Amino acid sequence: MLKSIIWADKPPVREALMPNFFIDLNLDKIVYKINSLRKYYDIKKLFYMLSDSRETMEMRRRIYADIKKPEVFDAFCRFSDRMKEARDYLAGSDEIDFMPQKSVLFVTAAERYDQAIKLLENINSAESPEICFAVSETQKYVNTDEYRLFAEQTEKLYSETESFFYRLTLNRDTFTVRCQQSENNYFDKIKRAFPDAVDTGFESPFKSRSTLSHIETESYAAIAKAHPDCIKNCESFMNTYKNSFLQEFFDLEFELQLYLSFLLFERYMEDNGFHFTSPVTAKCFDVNGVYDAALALTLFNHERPVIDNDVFMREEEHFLIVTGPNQGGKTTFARSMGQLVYFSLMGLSVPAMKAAVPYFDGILTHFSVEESTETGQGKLKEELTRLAPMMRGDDKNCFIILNELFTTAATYDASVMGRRVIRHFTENGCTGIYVTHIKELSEGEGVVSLVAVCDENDYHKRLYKMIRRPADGIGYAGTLVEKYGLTYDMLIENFKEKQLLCPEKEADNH
Amino acid sequence: MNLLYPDRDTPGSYIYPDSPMIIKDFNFQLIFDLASRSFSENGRGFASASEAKDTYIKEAMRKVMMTPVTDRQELLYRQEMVKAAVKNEKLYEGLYAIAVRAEKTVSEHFAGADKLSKGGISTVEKLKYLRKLTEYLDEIKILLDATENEPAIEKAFSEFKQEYTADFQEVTNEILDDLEFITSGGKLVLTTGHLDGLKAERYFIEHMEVTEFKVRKKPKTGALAKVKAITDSIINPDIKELKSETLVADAALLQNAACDYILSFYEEFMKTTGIALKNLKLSSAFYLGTIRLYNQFKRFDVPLCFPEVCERKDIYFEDLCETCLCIYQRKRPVGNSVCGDGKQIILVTGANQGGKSTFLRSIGIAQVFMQAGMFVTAESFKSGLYQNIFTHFTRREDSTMNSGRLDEELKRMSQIITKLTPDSMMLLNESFATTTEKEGSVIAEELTEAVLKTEVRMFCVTHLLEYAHSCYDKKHNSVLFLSAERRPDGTRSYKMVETPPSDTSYGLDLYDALIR
Repeated sequence: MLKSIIWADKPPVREALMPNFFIDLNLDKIVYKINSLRKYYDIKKLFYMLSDSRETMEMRRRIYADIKKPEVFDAFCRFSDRMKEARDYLAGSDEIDFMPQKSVLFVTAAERYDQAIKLLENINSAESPEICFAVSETQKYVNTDEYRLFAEQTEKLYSETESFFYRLTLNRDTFTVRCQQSENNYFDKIKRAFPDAVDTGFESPFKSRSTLSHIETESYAAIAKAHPDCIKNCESFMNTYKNSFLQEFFDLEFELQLYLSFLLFERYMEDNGFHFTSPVTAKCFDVNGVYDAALALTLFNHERPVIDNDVFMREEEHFLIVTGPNQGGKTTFARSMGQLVYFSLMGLSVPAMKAAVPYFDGILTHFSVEESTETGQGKLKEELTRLAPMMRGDDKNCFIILNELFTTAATYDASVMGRRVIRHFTENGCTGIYVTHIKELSEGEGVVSLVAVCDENDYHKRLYKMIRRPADGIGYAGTLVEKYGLTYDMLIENFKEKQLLCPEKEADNH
Repeated sequence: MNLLYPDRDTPGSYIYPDSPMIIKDFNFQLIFDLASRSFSENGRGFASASEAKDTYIKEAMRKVMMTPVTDRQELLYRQEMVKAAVKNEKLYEGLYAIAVRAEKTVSEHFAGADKLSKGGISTVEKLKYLRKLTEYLDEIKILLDATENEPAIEKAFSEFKQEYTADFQEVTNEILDDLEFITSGGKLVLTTGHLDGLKAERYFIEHMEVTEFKVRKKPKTGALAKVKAITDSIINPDIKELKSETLVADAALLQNAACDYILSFYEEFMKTTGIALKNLKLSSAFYLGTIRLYNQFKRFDVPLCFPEVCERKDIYFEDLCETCLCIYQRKRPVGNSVCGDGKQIILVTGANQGGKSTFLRSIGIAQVFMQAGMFVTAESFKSGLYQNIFTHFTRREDSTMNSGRLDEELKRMSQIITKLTPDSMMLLNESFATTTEKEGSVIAEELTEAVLKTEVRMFCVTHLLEYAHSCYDKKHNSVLFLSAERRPDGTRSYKMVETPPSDTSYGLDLYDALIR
């Protein structure tokens, strides 16, 4: 009897809906991409549920580490493909009333099912107890006499049906079907024009229909005439094994997709130069090179680099207060941290170079909504309305992201409210990020000030880097020539960077 | 068909990053315009503007000329091609005419593909398209066969001739004829490979042909056809009648799929031929435009030469005429000669209205012509190959001393600096004139000093005398100082001569000429 490989205990009963933080963190975009990588499966819902316990998270990490092994990954992919085909043939067989076709389809389904089970049975490089357990259970199942007989008959019947063939002649108003081999091949002519061409034949235009087309039905007469016994045997095979495919293998197939699709996503990101790493659980954050994976997805085709950040928190620190110029990368940073925590809690890899991440029981986010036509007061009211349920709940040990709260309130009010909000969450044992333009919030106990910095030489140039230092408000000035980098020194600096300088000319200074 | 490069026929995606400014500052529109007009020698010169201007040729000239050839071998190849082209006007007229029609067919085909995005292009349409493409290729072959032996042209088409062989032509025509079974009725024999639950996964084609209908008047599904089908099925019980509509529909699906399968082998051929014909439109338009320019300049009695490639540190030319001036004046204008070998920066000062800007433009235009593999309006011209040409033109007449304009000018300069590469040529015309002479001089001087530390070539026309003097005093070996010649009597020869910068730009002369 197999067990779930994504829930340590029992799977949650309630229907999964997209959590509130999903859109704020742009996780919907990431999950959309992940979901598209295994095209026959819709597993978005699996991503809507965070791990229900620390055990689940750790179990998933063990399994994911197994899946990262190429042999295991490959075997599971092929297992899924065969299971998918088995399901399709089974569904096809159910739909059909024409008995000979119904039974032949059933035999084909059985053949795919058998292939899949045997792939599973032969996995031997797994280390996690969960995967090892699944493999050994499969081995037990395969070694029963009942299964052996089933497999033997499947193979025999399948190879017979596979060898059917016929020849079809279409004329102006008539057609002929005979069970004959072909006499010559039109392809010889194609070869004259394209010597390297290979004759693959063309796909039947009726392939996508589950039922036989009229021409195919007519063709069947010729086949039935040639192979009467085989068709009869298929029918009795179907009657014997009608309900012998085990549901638990189909469940396993579905759950596996969480890991398979995520690994494909991770590789896709790696191929485009974005690193993922397996996080470790720690008391405090210590992260190198965390970046916004959703932003990275949109920037593949652009020249712009995706900026990453390093961040750590000490035990007595509960909130990161991020200040800095507009468009300085504050929100992106907050998002990237949210994604980091989310994927860590999912038991998967995280978008960073190295990451120690604490365990949280949940994620709560509050992002200000883009310009609304409402008045300032209306917006503040709207913000507070959305904030209230987050603060009313008794959520302990959550990860909180508050982005540009109270922007429409007076600075004094906003700073007082901000302090209260921070205190509330801190008292509830939560950790979080607070993105704001109010400098005062970054001072006090239990908070860390991060500043989005600009280039020291160019006030306009954002570096999108978060630096741990007191909030400031430094201004930059310069003459026009300096602004455009046209002084001698600046030009030389620029040329040096672009390797435009000639060494022999550099020597003779004026 | 490698008309533009030894190994391909498409200009890469790289064009001068500064091309809009190059076109504007050097007035290339005038040149493109001239290239796009056909000229009839019997008539009264140009045909009327509306009928003779071909906007596509203009576009082609722009595209090819703004894509610099930066490789010496590629440039020599292009020069050979241009030399061959001016001798074979008729061939290029013919190629362009075919290419225009072919390109239309190709675009319409793809426009059709977009419209029918769901079902794709119908099999019959594809069949027609393939036939048309082969017809265009046949036409090109005939045209080439009629052209006198010209090695450069032979070379350009050798790959085409190798790929589109007589045998390929023949078997393709046979196959196209067989495929007509789908439009005119015929026989198709299929065999199946592997069956999957009684359904054939793939079919193989054993035979196909167009069959003549036995009854004289040909109704496809008329009463007589029916009688024949029934008699056939009585004689041989294996033969079944396509009696229901669904059976006919199934048969049609199979026929279409078989036809598509055969056509799929031509997919690549259709694609590359489509692209090749589209490219041919561009390249033949470029050569046709170039031929027309060449003939016009010959008529204007302008000196023409094919430039020589040298290292980037050198530049040398004799009697270089400003190309647009040739077109305006319809005769040979005053030319300039410079021996600038080893001179990285050429600094031009001197008399107002002395032809300084014209001189600067003549170099820029010649460089662009050269790097398109074209001729240059000079007795001789020798220069290096540049990846980038940047122009920084300030029109003094509209210069006002306000910081907004200086801001704009400096911004533009900083954009140039950002894009600068070692193999760049900068042409500065009255730069930094939007501020005081003192300030402007400092900016210009610092820029010059920095540029001297690189390999970037710079031409600089300036009235900032403080700047010019200070440069001269530093005695840089790699700076050449030129000045617009002013004869002692105050008249201008429009010639640049090698002299130290003078103290005045003789604005007073102009004042005298205009005010008195």
